Amino acid sequence: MEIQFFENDGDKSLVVKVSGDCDLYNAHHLFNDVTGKMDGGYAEVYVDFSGTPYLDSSGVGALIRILQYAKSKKIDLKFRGIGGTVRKVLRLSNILSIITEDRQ
Amino acid sequence: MKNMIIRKLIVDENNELFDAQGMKYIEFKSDFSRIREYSARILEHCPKQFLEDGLLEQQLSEIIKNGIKHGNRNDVSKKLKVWYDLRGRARFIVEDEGGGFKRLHEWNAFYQRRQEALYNNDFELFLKLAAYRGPESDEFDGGNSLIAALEFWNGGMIYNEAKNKVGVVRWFSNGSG
Repeated sequence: MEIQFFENDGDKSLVVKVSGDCDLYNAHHLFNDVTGKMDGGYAEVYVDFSGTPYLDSSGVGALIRILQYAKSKKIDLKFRGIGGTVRKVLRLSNILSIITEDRQ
Repeated sequence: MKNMIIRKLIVDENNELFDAQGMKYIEFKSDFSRIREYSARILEHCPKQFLEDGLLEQQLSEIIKNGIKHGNRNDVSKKLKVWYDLRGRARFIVEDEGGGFKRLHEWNAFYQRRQEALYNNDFELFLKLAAYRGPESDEFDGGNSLIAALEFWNGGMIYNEAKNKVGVVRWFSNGSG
């Protein structure tokens, strides 16, 4: 899994692009890297899963913890590119209904 | 008015899902680093229509992970036993050598509270209940594998009395028979 960050100083937003499988072997990186970057004073954060073909329960757990962290910091967190198996896993986990999707 | 359906983990030692007659058998060392490899090996000759773009491998990996991590505590000297049958549906029995999922009923109660929060559109409470933590859970455990499993294994998910063995089955409308 690779995580890339794209900052927009104009509107104080951050785009997080996740590429590759997000699974039990690397999901902790997703949580640590994204929440570490969230402390940079962003009003909006977009997490883009369009490059992620596989997500397991560890990835779902990381995502939930990121949601909780964003809420505690009053950061507007939105998701992009949720499709295929990732979408199915989030639906099965009953998480899809509580996240906000940004359909560009 | 919408209906609230709350599934449960069930204990039934004599359930037909534990009948391993005619099933293939394989056993693995409890090597945490090889969980996805084990799933891929079991599904090597699986009918393509059952794979659902990786979803079956993902769900099988979760059960194997639970056995290796929570059951056998990643002790490589302990075996994980898997029976599987991919004729007409995907059916598995996975048994570890651990002490069993002792907090199964507590987890059912957690899941009920979580689903009730979702049903009542109480997203604040839902988010607080979004992860289950038992006394032996680590920060990456959240009970999410079981939540998805209850939905995915549409033919049942049953534990034995010792709660160290689980039987599951998924039926496919486009490939059974």
